Order: sequence, then C-alpha cells, then structure tokens
Amino acid sequence: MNGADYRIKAEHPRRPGQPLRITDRAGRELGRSGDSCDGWTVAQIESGLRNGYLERITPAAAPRRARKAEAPSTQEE
Amino acid sequence: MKYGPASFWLIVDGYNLTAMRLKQFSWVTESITEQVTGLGDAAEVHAPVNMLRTEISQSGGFFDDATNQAHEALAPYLPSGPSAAHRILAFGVEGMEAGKRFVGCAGVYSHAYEVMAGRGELVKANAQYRVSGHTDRGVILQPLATKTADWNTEDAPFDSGAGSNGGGVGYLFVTACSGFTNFVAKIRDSSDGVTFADLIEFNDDVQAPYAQRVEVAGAVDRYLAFEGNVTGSGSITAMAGFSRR
Repeated sequence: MNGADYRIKAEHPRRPGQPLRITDRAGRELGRSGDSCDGWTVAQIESGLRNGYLERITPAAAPRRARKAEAPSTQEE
Repeated sequence: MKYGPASFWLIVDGYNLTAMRLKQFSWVTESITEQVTGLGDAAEVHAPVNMLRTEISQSGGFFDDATNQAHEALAPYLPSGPSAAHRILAFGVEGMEAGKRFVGCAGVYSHAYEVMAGRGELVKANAQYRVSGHTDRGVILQPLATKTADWNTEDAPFDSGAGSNGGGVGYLFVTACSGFTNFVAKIRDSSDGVTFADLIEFNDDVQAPYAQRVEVAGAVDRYLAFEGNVTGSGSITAMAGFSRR
C-alpha cells in the first residue's frame, strides 16, 4: 500500500462543506484537504480509508486498459 | 465508587466558582407529575407529565469581590428581562480529570444571589440557578489546566467504546487567558484512535472568562480528543468536555 496513491478528500465525509485536517494519534498533522498521503504509514492509510477521509488519485483501472490494448495484437499474431 | 468533597468542581460562564469554597451544592432534577387520583381509588395515583425541572443551588461560599471571583460572577448576571442572556454552567462530582463525568447546562439563569454576614464569620454568598432546556451529561476531555503552547490529547483520547450517530454537544470553558491573540479549540474524533479529524470547532476567543456550547449532528466516532491552537505567546486556562447523544 503506497500513500502516494491517495490524497485527503476535499471535504469531511460526514460534515459536508467542512475541510479535513488529519492528524495522527500524537497530534502531528498528516495533511489537509487535497494533500497527498505520501509518507503515511500503512496503518495511517488504512485508518484514513476506514474513516472515509481519503480518495485514490492514481487511476486504478490503468493496468486493465494496458492489457486490453495488448490483447488484439496478440490475437493477430 | 464514592467521591469526597475534593472531587467537586463548578464553573459558570468561565468563572471557576470552586474557588468560593462552597459549603454545599445541590442539583435537583425532577420529573413533574400530576396527581390523577379519581373516585374509587383507595390510594393516591400520580402520573408523570413528561416534563423535567432542574434546579441548582450553591451555598456557604465566601463573598469575594476580587477580579473573576464570586461577586463578579454572580451579582451582574441576575436576569433583567425576558430576553436576558442565558448562562453556561458545568459541574462535576467525580473530580477534574480526563474521562470523568460532568453535567453541563446551557439555559441557565442565576436568578438569586444572597450575601450573608454573620457575627464572628467571614461574609458568605449563596446563589440559585434555574435551568431552561438542555442538561447534558458528558465526559471531560480536557481537565482545567493552564497551557502556554498548542496542545492536544490525541495520544490519550477518550475511548467511548463505540461510535454513535445522534450527534453531541461540546462545552468549552476558559477561566483565564493572557497574551495570546487567538485561541481556537477543537474537539476531534476518530473511529480507530489512529487518525483524527475535526468534530467541533469552537469560536476563536481570548476574552476570559468565557464559555461556549456547540452542538453537532450526525456521526460521532468512538475516540474523542481535545485540541487547543494558540497564536502568539501567553497562557490560557481551559477546560472542555463532550456529551454524546
């Protein structure tokens, strides 16, 4: 799990219109709305996902598109 | 568990009235009932009418006209008209410690203030409060303490055992503040105690003594913590709690 694949959502999932500022258990700021989660620990990313604070920024469908592009050429050969 | 008198504390609008050295404090919550005894009944019958009455009184405290002490906290606040501002009051009998329970009341009038002088005694003062509306039972997230820099309690959050969806009420009392140009206090929540996000943000205020009560709707996560953000240099003495609904 890579933090660079995620960023903090633009608004609080349960309080619409309110920006997010996420801190860790020690009170250190991990980031604010729009910030990448690069540098977060796996536990922090998982926690942020469980809480609904994070969204994925790298396109998860990219590998599938690559396979589809290769498929026709394989059939032609 | 039993508690002794040292565990008691009382704050009204940011005035720490525990300093009055009260002799007695009383909080009465009464469910109003109507007698519905009818013909044929051999004994009285009473039925609750779905209305609560709360009355609070304190007695035997020292009369003290120093800044931020009892006289300043009570004498100017007798309600002068129907639209007089309510006061915010909180007290606890389990001690001023994180995780201990407290009672908060928002619609409070301190409608009676009595000064008593007796031969051979220091002058004492009594007060009575009428409560309109909400009485909240909550837990202390930040015990009354003096801070000189940003702080939070996220490394030791209050664990409610489970989250809830009925919202809640946050209370903030500041008994003293000097030097700082801003003080923004927040109550933050987390479902797992690992990452925290804002639940309640109190108004920025450095005029002490003052109190705020803020309601929040919807989901409230399991872990609760308090955060204080100050600007500049100085000191602030604050206390905060949260009542989950």
